[in-house]
Amino acid sequence: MSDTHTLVENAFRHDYGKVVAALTKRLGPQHLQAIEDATQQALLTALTAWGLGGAPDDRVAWLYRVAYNRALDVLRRDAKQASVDDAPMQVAAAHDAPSFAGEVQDDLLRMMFLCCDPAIPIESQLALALKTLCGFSTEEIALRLFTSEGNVLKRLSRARDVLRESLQLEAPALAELLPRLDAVHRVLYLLFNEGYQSAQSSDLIRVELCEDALRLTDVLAAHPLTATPETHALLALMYLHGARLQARIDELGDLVLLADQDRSRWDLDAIAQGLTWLNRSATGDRMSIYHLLAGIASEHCLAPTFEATRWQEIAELYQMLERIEPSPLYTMNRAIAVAQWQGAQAGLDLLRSVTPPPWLARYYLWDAVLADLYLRCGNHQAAAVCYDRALQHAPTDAERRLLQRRRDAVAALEPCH
Amino acid sequence: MSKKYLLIYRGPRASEMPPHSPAEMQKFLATWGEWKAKFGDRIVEMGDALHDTGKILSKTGVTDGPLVESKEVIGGYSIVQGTSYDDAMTVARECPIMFMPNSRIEVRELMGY
Repeated sequence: MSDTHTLVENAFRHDYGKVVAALTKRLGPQHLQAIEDATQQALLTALTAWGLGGAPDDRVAWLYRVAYNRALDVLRRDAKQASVDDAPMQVAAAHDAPSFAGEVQDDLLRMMFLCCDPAIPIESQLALALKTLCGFSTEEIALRLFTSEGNVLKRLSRARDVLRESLQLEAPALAELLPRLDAVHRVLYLLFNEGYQSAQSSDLIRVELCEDALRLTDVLAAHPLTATPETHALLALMYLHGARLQARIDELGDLVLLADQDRSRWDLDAIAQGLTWLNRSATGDRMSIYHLLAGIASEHCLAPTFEATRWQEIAELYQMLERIEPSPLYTMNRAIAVAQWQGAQAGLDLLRSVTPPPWLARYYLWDAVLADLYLRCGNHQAAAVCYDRALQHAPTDAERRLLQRRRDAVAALEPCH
Repeated sequence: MSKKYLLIYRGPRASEMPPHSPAEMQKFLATWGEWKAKFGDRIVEMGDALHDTGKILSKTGVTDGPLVESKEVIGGYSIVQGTSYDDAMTVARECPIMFMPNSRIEVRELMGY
């Protein structure tokens, strides 16, 4: 028995994900709602049991047992669930499952693939992953995805509907699910980005998402079937970005731009890990976006100063990204690199050669970058207009404060008129 | 003279409790440790939690109980010591059980000495 208050932070969230994954394997994805309810109740039960008697050494096995029995009770009550009639035998087996901890990693892996069912819309995949794998409540998911709780509930029920209709009595074997690996990478990358890109004022919220994405990608990298070069590149990318996470926020919770970051605050261990995984990813003949993105991140991590960054390499890597997956966002980033490499005017020319698609019209970063480039070219008026537009669409306070500081600086430069 | 009191934790079974996020529940679990730390010398026995269901033995035989339909079940117990009921209440009042929805504590003095 270990002491209850020595539980590491997030342990309950992660336990939740492991138990849901293990039960989904045992009972089938069509019962996901019952499984989640049972797991929730097992955690509630643990509140008194562990509080009084102390937490068991193997928390997941304990929770699994309670949740499994609970889920069976519920499913048995439903007359239609004839397929789980052999349940009492399975309960006995569950009680003395010795290699439980090892199996749970496999179950988590399988659950990731189930979340990435191609019949589930991508935003529902992401919500489902946050709910089942990360153990966030709908309210917590809403906060993290900048959307309403009602919206999250809708996305989740859409996802559960698809799983219910799959009508499989048990979760398919991992090998059958492998074609979905690209989609799994995508969701993990999105999960990481939600943490990394969004400037939540609460540091913890962002770091949590990044850590969870990294934890799950680690599971992929540890399994022979899913340890592909792309998985390694994705893991490298997460380590290399993660290394700079803390330095992106100052003491007041404001965003710090790359140029102004204190590079001594970057996490050297994480950079070393990232470079190791990047090396390992350099096999096979497929150059994925994760290889290129990790390559860009490594250029930043290895640069001694902002000025001494190899901007030409970075601009070229972005250009390769545009070839694989054309996106005005890559062009925007290339324009930033080009501005450093060949001068602000060259960057501005490149950015202005692109007509942003409608979905980008309200994207504050586009205007913010444009404003910076105008400013550096000496066109203060155009810069001010772009900053104002960016300010209108900035999603968080931290971003607004950063933009406002720059807008104020322009106002100070602007000649009186 | 110090007396012993049995704290009987009564409340809804887990299936009847409103859902909480795992993160919230973990924070709640930590409050047991705080309670223990604060009243360590007053808690004679932390006690244990009880399963929702069990058996009831009577002269006519054995039946299942408490019934699944019963609104409230005994979820667990602890034993604390104090000079009076009022004194025992100061410990019980801060017990984490009091912060669980629809839960209450029955406090009963032990007669043995």
